[in-house]
Amino acid sequence: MNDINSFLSRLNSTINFSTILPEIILIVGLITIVITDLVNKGKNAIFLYKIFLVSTLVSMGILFYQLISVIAFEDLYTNNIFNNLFRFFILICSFISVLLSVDYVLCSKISLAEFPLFKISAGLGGMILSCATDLITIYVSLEFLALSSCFLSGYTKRDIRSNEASMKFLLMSGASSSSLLYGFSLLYGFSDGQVQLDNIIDKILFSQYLPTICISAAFILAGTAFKLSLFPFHQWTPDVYEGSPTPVVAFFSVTSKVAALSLFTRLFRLIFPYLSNEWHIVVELLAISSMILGNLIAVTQRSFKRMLAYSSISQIGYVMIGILAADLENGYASMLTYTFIYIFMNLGTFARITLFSLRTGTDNIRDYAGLYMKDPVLTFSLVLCLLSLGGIPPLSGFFGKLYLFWHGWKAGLYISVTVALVTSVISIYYYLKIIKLMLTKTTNPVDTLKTYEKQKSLVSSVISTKLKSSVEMAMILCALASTLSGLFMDPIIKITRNTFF
Amino acid sequence: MINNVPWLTTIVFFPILAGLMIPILSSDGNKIIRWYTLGICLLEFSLITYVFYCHFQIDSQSLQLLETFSWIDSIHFRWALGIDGLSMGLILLTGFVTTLATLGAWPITPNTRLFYFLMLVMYSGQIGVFVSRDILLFFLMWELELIPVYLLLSLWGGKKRLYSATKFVLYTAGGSIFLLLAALTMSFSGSDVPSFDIQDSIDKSYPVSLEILIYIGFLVAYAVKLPIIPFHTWLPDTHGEAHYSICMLLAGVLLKMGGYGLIRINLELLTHAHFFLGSGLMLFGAIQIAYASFISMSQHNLKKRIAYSSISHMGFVTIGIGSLTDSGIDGAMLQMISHGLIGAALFFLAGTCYDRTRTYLLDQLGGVATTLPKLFTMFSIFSLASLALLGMSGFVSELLVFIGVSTTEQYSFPFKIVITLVGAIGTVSTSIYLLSMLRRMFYGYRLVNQSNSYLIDLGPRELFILICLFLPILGIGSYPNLILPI
Repeated sequence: MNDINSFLSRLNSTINFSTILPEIILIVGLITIVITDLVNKGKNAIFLYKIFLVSTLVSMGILFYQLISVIAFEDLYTNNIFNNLFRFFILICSFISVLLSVDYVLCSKISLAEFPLFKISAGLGGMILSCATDLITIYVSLEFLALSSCFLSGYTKRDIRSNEASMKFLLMSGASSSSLLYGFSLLYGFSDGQVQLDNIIDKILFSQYLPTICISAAFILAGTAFKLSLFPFHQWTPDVYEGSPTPVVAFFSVTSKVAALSLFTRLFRLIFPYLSNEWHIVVELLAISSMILGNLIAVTQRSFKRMLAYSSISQIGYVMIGILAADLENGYASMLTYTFIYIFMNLGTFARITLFSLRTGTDNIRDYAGLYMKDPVLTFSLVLCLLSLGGIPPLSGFFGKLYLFWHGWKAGLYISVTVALVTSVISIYYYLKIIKLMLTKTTNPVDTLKTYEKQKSLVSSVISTKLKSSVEMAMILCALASTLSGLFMDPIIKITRNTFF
Repeated sequence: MINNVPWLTTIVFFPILAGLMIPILSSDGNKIIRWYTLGICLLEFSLITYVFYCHFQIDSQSLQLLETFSWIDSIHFRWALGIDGLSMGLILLTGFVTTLATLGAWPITPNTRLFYFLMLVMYSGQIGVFVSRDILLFFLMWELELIPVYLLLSLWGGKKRLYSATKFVLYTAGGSIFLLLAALTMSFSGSDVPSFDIQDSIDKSYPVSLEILIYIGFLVAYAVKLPIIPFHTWLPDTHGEAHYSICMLLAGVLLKMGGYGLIRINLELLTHAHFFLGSGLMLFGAIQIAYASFISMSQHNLKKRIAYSSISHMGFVTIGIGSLTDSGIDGAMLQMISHGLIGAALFFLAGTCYDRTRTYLLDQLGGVATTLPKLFTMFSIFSLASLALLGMSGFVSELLVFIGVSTTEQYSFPFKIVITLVGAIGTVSTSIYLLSMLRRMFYGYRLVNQSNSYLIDLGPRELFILICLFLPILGIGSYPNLILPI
């Protein structure tokens, strides 16, 4: 008893519990899910989802409270606003993506219990990655995120494409993690065995091994750019996105990108500030090529998920402009605002695709033809989300892009902003292609939509309240956020301003 | 001077908010939606006229009814609205034409709810363009037009509608990029505090080369919209394929947005660059008049013919703006208003003709004058108005533009002669193609194998629309002083 007391008191003094309380709640949720599943022996699976949702909500609430109090008291602990915001984003991602995966998992009759398990673990990995400040934690949480995502992408075991996707993901994430690790090892060596990021900076600041530090920067860039799917490290994205089950893709496309964004920003901002000219140029090049490549190839895609993969590559290109344009008074406000909006736009689109593929079983864009006749609600919400992705006013995508380009122009990134605008116009083209397909009434004889029926959700009686299913709830939430958050962007910007470090 | 009641915001928001209520209305028949939308449009138009009569002083030079709300502070993007004479005329035009277009869209049956909703969104957006005082707000409203027009075009258009809709969107969006870039450059240079307000920007002065760059940036965006050759190629496709009420909106109002932008931003804010490039504008305008009218002569498709005539008439606007004289600019403004009315009327007529005869090709439309006397009369009247017959508004505006060209002191004499000559050629060929169009349509022998049981003459609704459009044209033509003091 005495030992436990002293242990707890020592623990308490070294770790500030309240700051990692959200993660602890998630871990508790995780353990509960495992235990419940073992106890129930596979029955009453919806209860697991309820646990997941509840734990996510609780940790979100606590994080929110912490955010408010931090803003109020200007606490400058390691969990500053930047980290907290990213953790909040990842929690939102997990929450919404679970909402839209419930129906899918039930319908495809895959094993139910491990799904929330992996989702929580991936979310945990992301959250810890967002606030990690030493090399080992970064690596461990990155691997945590990567491995859980790997399992998630191969979840539908009987689908060949899913197996292929998870294999590709595993191999490529392994390769990139090892390159990241090599970069870290160089840093570790140069800083005389320091692991904490702050200490590393102190040690290597006046080091004479500048070229080798550049090499380490290059390796770290390769490792993180994989996660972000920047060009030329984007090759895994289309195949993995097309093969994995749709809710998993939704989760990937936001969570791992958001977590990788925070990692990227922190690493490059903290460790290599004096190399900032060099890596600015490199990142600018990568961003421009991602934008161009992503948008151009997306024009020719026939599969919806693949097209969204390429479009997400280009969206990350835009966000990179935000990273490059950070300055003293505004911090990373543009990047954070656009990330926030991007989460909702992307998840909204994926929610609708999930619903559609549940009802018709196809992913081909051609099969969306004439959707307006059969299901106007789905059509309109998909139209809203796609238009928001394209940057049409008055939706929030427009405002996010406007803010991003305003910052970029102010910081002098003329070429990037011009390329971004031109590729935005190209992206409008392929989003409009889909919208046009949905709204015009051309139905050919071999039409998938003939067998379209509005299935009543299998879990409607348990999870949802007034709406038909949780997917629709997620859909409507995302649609609202996509349209309205642009108009009320000002408070969001004010929150994200104070994030320069 | 800020009013107690935010009139302008009301005018901008009212249609779109009313449009959001459309899904609630029952869709038992299309009648309810039509009457509802018509009512909203009329209400909006009466609001506009009320604001005009009661709150607007015609003689004052400065902006009135200013409203400023701070919207997104961090990028200094403010909801700033204000109008002056130029905007007021165009707002009245918008209200008028959109109301009539809604009335003209009566026979549309599929998807009426979406159609009228999009019409109301367009209404808001168009008014928003003309009242905004903040360049980013201007850009927002400008871009707002894209998707409704795309949807309206692709759902209710002609045979090649999807192609022309995509062309429209990509062209206009591509042009608008330059608008944004130029706006951003303008706001960041020349002062420490970035601001997008048009009022502030007037006081700034820029180094000349930068100003020319900014001017060209804005010019590209307006050139796509106005249109100025060679950026006009979207127009024949779009106007040729759209349903005629959309064409009324497009030709009547959307083209004027480009002209408005030219006057408002390039003329008022970037005067030095305007001096340099004004001659280029005049040249392009003159070429445009002649070129477009020549193309129009060879068109077999009725609507494309009228579309090219629109391009040709907008050339006058360009010349007027480039002429750097007061009368030239007055002429340009008047031409915008008059062409808005005439173009809308012509497209409406073409559309109703199509409704009856189901063909746009002039070869197949022979000799319908005897069966459709009213259509014939109205068509003739509006064609004569279009070619600037004495007594109609087109005459006054073209006269003013030519006076402006000839009295400007900035340019050399031979240059002015060339411009006037080319413009005159264009005017003459305008009359050639219009009259030939009339001849082929109405006179001559009727083709025997045409089924003539569908050739019902103009109904009362259509007559009403046309007379509504005709009266201002006649009025302005006879008494231009109605509009000019603005």
